[in-house]
This record gives sequence, structure tokens and C-alpha cells, in this order.
Amino acid sequence: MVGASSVIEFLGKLIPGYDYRAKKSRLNTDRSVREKMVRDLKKSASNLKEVSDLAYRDGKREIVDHIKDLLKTIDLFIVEIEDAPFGQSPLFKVDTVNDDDIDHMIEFDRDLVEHLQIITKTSDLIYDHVLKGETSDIIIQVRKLKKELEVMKNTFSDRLDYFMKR
Amino acid sequence: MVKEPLFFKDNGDMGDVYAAAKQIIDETHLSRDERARISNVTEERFNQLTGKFIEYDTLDEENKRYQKTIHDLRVRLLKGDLNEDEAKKALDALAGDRDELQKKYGDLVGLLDTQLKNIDLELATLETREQTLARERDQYHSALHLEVTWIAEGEIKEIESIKEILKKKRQSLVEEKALIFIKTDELAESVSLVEDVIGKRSKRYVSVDDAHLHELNFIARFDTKMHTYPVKCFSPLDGTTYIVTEWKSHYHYDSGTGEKAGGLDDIDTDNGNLPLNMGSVYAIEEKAFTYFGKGKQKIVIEAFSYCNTKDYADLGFDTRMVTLSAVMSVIGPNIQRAEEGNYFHALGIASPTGWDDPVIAWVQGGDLGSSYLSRNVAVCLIDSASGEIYYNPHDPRIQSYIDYFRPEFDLERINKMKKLISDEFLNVEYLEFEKIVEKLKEDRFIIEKAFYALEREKIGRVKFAEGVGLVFIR
Repeated sequence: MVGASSVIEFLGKLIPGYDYRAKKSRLNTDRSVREKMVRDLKKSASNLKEVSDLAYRDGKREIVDHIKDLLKTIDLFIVEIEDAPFGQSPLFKVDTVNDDDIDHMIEFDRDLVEHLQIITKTSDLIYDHVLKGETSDIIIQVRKLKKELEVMKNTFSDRLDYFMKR
Repeated sequence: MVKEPLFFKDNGDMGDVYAAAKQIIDETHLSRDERARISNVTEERFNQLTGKFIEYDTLDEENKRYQKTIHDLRVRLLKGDLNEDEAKKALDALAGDRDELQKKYGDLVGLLDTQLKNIDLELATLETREQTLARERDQYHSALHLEVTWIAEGEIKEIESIKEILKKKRQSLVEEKALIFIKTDELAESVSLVEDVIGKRSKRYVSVDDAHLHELNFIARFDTKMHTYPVKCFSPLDGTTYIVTEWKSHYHYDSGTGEKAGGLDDIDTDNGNLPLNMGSVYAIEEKAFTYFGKGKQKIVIEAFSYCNTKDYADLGFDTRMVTLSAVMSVIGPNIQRAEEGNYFHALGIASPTGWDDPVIAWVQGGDLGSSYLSRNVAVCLIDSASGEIYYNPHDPRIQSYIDYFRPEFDLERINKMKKLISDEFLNVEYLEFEKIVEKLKEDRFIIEKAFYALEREKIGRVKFAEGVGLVFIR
């Protein structure tokens, strides 16, 4: 099993100032995690938008529709992330949070970041393949990407539930 | 008319892009974790090594104290302050200390062996990881997997540098181990230092003045030969013979009076005649560019005199021949430097008290060629009192340097041969060149010159006889 310190180190390298222990930095950490998610999802959306434009130019309406559907899901997810009411969570109001809660928060963040990295990388790869003309199974790949996005959305909802119910 | 697709040509499948992305991410994490692990392990190993050196230093101090006690005992015995029985008793009393030191050195060797095993294990792990990465790097050759390739290459480079550090550390441990063996040999020999005096087994007595004269004589002759241009120096490492017409890198050194009297204050150590273990070094350097840049050493030719300076300071004389462990302790650091700098080092060491039989047997190599210590270093030993020179005749690396280290000039050698040949010639009608070479064991060109010199003095004639070769005839 991966140690907590290595997870914190891993997240610390991706998110500046990552720390849930001190009250003053807890809210900022949560905001930074969400900002990172939004930033990377926008990057993926931008890649997919490019692919969609190329498909439209080549008259591939079916592909355009699938990507459009995925882009809509990303947009909705971004709104969900930006508008999530984390500030109201009791976890951000108390001075000290027990270790279990901190461990759970870190665990959620790690899962989210891992999903995020895979989604970003997959959209990069899809774009690269399109530039090489390897496109025969693109719809399957877009569906897989959407599925990964749904899993990430669920994780995010679970995280929100956990935060609010504490 | 249907427009030809520009990008969506369906040339092939994307494959499992999701799985590829996941693999790339996993590889990135794994690579980072592996690097962190290697870094931690290396640091831990280095810490262990530092601990070892502290222990070594303490032990070395104990050894020095023991050696000083033995030296003092020997000095008192030679000066007549102790009789033989008292010396034997004192020697027996020191047996416990000696055994204890030998045991501690043995334990230290065990510790070093464990450390070497650990390093070997770590190197093997790194090799395996390197091979896996190399496979991955070659497998993911498409542009899509450039990231994995970069990660693999980055980690391979890091592994290479860590391997290099570990290998250097390993080498230093091996050298450390060799030094410990020398120390244990010295401990084993320490008893004989006193026992030899008791049993009066000394073969030669060399006074401080004689030792100093021999030292000056040896170094001066070596310097003269090295300044008889052109000097030809052969490097077996690059197979090149360098012809020197001017030395740009040359210096002398000596041990100074730092080693005086083993700490005894009541002895006149300001005696200007003390031998100083003088040395003379000539180096051939090559610059990457003709006019600038730091020169890289290609060949170093070094001659130095080696004496037991403590005995000369304390007693005014020495009777001890140089032992194998002493020779090894002198040559060891030279090998290390030559291998690090990757240059060839020809070493001539002179001793006024001569060399122990095992040392002579070692340097001459015998059938086993045991004198071959390193590809970078070749050694010859000179008895500066008798003028004899010992080297491995089967080692071509040292042969071209023998004449520079030999304590005689060519003219002296010719004169010596002239006398010997004249004596031989008294009772015979002629002398065969080949037989004389074999009998007098001198270089062919010296014998030949001696023949012609005798001919000029009208003692005989040099003639070529069919089937016999060169002969010296009446």
C-alpha cells in the first residue's frame, strides 16, 4: 500500500501549498485542487474541440456528435466543480481535524488527480492519433473517455458528500 | 463531388488509448518512486560508509601506538638499554595487543565485505531496472509514446550516474581492504623487527651518512639520465613512444623532517645528513588543444629512495631490508592515482638496505608474473648500495625504463665490463660474444661497446666468425 507521506508528496508536486492540517490552508488547498481539475479538464476539452473541428471539416458528423456529447459532459462537470459548496463544509470551520478525515480527504484528492491525469493524457493521445490518420476506432475511444469522466464525477460527488456530512 | 478526408482517413486503429494513457501515468509514478527509493538507499549506504571510516581511523591510531612501542623496544635493544631476555619478555607482553589489533582488522574486513556485497546487490538491482527501462524505451518507439521514452531515458541516465558513484565507492572499499591487509601484514612482521635484533639476523649495516649519500647519488643519476635528450618514453596504454627534448613537468620532493625520531625529543634530528626519502618525478602531458586547456598526464616516470627514516633518526643507522608490506603500502596510492588519471606510471624505488627476499621474488614475477599489479603501473626496485636492479624481465612495460633507473651510467657499465672481459681474456685465445652476454648478464650493447673499447686499447680484435658470431680474439 502506498504510504500517506508519499501521496502527500505526490500531490504536493502537482498542487502548490497542498496541506489540510492547518485550518488557514485547508480551504486554499481545496480551492487549489478544484482549480487544478478545472484547468486540466479545460485543456482536455480544448484538445477534443480541435478533434471535433477536424471531424467536421472531413464530414464525420457521427464523430462530431459523440465528441459534442463528451464536451457537454465536461462543461457540466466544470460548472459542478466551480460551484460546489465546499466552503460550507464543517471540515473547514473547525481548528483541528482528526487524522482519519485528513486521510480521507487526501485519498479522494489522489483518486481525482489520477483520473484527471488519465483523462488529460487520453485526450492528448486521441488528438495525436487523429493527426496521424489512425481514426477507425475513435468513437470507441471517445466513449471510453466519457466513461472515465463519469467515474471521476462520481468520485467528486462522493468527496462532496463526505465533506458536507462531517 | 465528395471531399477527400484530410485527417479521418481511417488508416488504422488508435488501439486502447485509455490503457496507453494509464500506462504512461503509471510509468511516470513508478519511475519517480524508483528514483526516490534509489536515492534513499544510496544515502543510507553512504552513511554506513562514513561510520566505517570513523572506526577505521580509531583502529589506525591504536595500530600506530603499537608500532611505536615496537619501534621503541627495538631502539632500546639496539642501544643496549635492554638485554635480550628483557626484550623477549616485553615482546611477549605485547602479543595480546597485537592479537587484538589483528582481530579488529579482521572484523573490519568482514564489515567491508558486507558493504561490498550490499553494493553488488544494489548494482544488480539497478542493472535489472536499467534493462527493463531499455526494453520499454525500445518498445515504445512511436511518437505517441515519446513521454515513456523520455521517462525511461531520464531514469536510465540517473541510474547510470548512481551506478558510477556506487562503483567508485566499491573501488575505494576494495582499496581500503587492501590497505587493511597491508596493516595486518605489518602487524605480523612487527615481532620480527625485534626478533631479528635478538637473533642478530641483520645482513647489512647502513649508516645515516651512507644512506643519505646513496639517496643523493640515486636521484642525481636518475635526473642526469632524464636530461640526456632525446628521452624516449613508451606508454603501453596507448602504444605510443613519446620523444622528449625538454621536460615541461618535473619536480623533486622529500618527506621533510616531519617523521623525525618517532616523537623522541632527546635525539638530534636536525642532522643534515638524514635521508629524506627523496623523489624525482617527470611527467609527459598532452593538451586537448595546442595552446590552451589543462594538460592531461600520459606518462609519469618517478624515482624515489625509500628508507626507514625513523631508525636513521633514532639510531643513526638501519639494518632492515624493505619488506613486501612496506612496498605495497608505497605502491598502493600510486596505483590509485594512475588508474584515476588513466596514465602510465613507471616507478623505480631504491633502498640502501636492500630488499627482502620475498620482495625480490615478487618483483621478478617468476613464472606466475605476480608483479603485475595494475595495467597503469610498472615497478622496478633498486638496491642503491650494491647497484643491483630487480624487475620482471617478462614485463615489457618496465623494460624500456630500466636504464633510466639503473644506478650506473653507461660508461661505468662499459668500464666494469671491460675489466671483467679482460680478466676472462687472460687465459683464453678468444671470447664468444653470446657466451659473454650470458655469463656477465649485461645488456648486449654494453658488451659490444666494451669489446670495441678493448679493441681500441689494442688488447684484442673484434671479428665476425661464421657460425659463431661476434668474437673477441687475439
